Amino acid sequence: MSALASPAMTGAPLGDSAAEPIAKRAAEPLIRFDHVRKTFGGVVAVADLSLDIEEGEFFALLGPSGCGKTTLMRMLAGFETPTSGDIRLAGKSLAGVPAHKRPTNMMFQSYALFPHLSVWDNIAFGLRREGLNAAAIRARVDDMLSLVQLTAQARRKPHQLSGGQRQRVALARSLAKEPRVLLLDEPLAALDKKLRGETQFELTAIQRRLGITFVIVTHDQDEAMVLADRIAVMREGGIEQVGTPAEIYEAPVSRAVASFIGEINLIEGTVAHADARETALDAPALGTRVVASPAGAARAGEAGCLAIRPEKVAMRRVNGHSDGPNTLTGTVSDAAFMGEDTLYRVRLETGHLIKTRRSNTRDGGTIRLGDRVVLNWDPADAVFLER
Amino acid sequence: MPSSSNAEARAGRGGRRVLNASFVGLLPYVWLLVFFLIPFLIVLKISLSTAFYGQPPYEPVLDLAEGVGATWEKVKTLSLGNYTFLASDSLYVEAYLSSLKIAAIATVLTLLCGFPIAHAMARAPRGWRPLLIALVIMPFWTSFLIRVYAWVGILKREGLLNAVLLELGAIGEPLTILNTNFAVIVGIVYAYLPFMILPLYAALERQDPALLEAASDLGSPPWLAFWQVTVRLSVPGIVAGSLLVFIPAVGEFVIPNLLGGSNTLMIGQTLWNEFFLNHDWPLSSAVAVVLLVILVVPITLFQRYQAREVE
Repeated sequence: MSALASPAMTGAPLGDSAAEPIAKRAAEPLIRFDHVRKTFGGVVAVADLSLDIEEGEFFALLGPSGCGKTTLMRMLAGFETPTSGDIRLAGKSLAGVPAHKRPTNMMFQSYALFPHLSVWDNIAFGLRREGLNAAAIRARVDDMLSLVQLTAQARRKPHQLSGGQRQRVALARSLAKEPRVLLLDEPLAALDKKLRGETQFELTAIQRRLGITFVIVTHDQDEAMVLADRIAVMREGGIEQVGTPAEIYEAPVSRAVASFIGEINLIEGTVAHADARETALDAPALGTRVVASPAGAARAGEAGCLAIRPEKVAMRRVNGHSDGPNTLTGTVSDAAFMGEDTLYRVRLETGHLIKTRRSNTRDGGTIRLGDRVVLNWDPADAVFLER
Repeated sequence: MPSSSNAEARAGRGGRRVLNASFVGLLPYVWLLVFFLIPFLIVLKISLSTAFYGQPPYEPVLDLAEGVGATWEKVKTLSLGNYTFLASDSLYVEAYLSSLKIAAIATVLTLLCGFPIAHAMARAPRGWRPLLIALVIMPFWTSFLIRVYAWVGILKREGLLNAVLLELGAIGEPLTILNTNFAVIVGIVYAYLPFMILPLYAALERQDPALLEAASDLGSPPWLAFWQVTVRLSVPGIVAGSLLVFIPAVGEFVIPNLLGGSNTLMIGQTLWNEFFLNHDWPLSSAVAVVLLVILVVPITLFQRYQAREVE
């Protein structure tokens, strides 16, 4: 039956197959997660997730522990198999391709350096499997050593290196084979704060120089913001939002994203009116009406939330009568000095606390605990969140 | 209790703590001196003596009460005669070689049996591991002699193994396993398996599973990654386990005596015969000293290996 039917059936796909791969290649990103789902004995780690990552991007998977970001990365590396769905790399499905045959390399959170091998041999490990001759391996390893500035430590064993040096060996080893995609699992988690800052800039510089697609898994929002071109914020096995760091920060789509990234004021209320220009919200916690002006799809009577970043809330001492939209009065309840700026919490008459941030420049005037202050913000800086 | 708290108070002031620390450091050496070096020197001295019909059955008997001069005269009668005899009689050379061969084969087989068991234990859920270790150690709760004797019942012509094989139709008539070198090897593998498993388990358990993933991420297929990482990093465990099996197996007496046959030649039995049947203390002492020297070689190699590994 099928033998009879097949010649006729292959005819049709053959007709447009000449044109299709080209169109597909242009349309398809480097990495595509297509309705990927992964469960571990009934526990859902990744739930029906679709995501595209473009060639040459520095892409971050950001989320709290247990959100499925590591599982997603391990499926890309080939250490886990999706329960359902497909992962494609450059248009080809990775299903059935074992880890050792994938053009991806991973930098492990524990670095996973081979303790019995020198720095040099660790970096050469992957190259030896490619059938390169000794001279080509030596040239490549030496290149990698100078890239991460470890030429002088080439003969050392991993246990003779500092944490930062180990991290750079791990990076060099995973880059040595020139992977299509470099996967970085919490690459900076084991470093102290100062070293982390320096390494962040090194990583972005290396990524730009090599043009390799980097996918990083991190729970650290600052790290994701500094490093990535685009971020996927994950929660409970799904993606909350994908966007550039600025989009995620300025225009979060949900309370979860808004509160996960940086400080924010979330003001709960009921939509009073909404039109193409603004969304007004009656907020019982503030005892007043607040306005966000980016257009939303909210309808009057719905519950929702207005989100405003502390640095967008202006604060000045009360002098005379204050009025206008988004204007609140209260007393300064506490202040956290952060160096370049100070984070204040202002208690309104209703008892609700609003966070505001002021830079520690000279022209700000002094504000002390207990001062009566007026807060207000531009409706364009506030975001209305339904979720 | 007051005395101990006084001691603590004094220790806190200094002096005594240093003394305590150096005493603790000396303890292993004191132990070695009393229970190894002194007995060894006595055995060495006897091995240089001559067999004598009497009590003790060798001469000379050194006694410093007779005066230094007389003792020195006796010392001068000591000779290497027993050692030249050992070298000249092929029975002893063959017994040494046969012991080394049987112990070597048994050690390799113990490693081959022990590695998969230790590997499975190291990969088992964390909560199970104490139970699995207890199961490995459990046989020690029964007498070694009884456990080895039980193999007679399994391996003999009318034994359990032959009965099962006959029943399955795998063999037409019972195999002769008992009283062969093969039976001795089976006995050694069985009796010494825990000594192999425990060091292997210790080496495998502390390996970061990410190392195996790193190897396959860098292009090694699973079998190669296993060899490059899992096996390579458990070499210290393999060496330790092999020595713990090989060294006592060379001098093993009970297992060849119960499971071996008339053709089985092991140095432990030779030594026993010389000592208890021929009452030739000096010769059996020489046998023991030579055995020790033979075994010192692998131990030294092991220590050199360990030193290099640490560096």
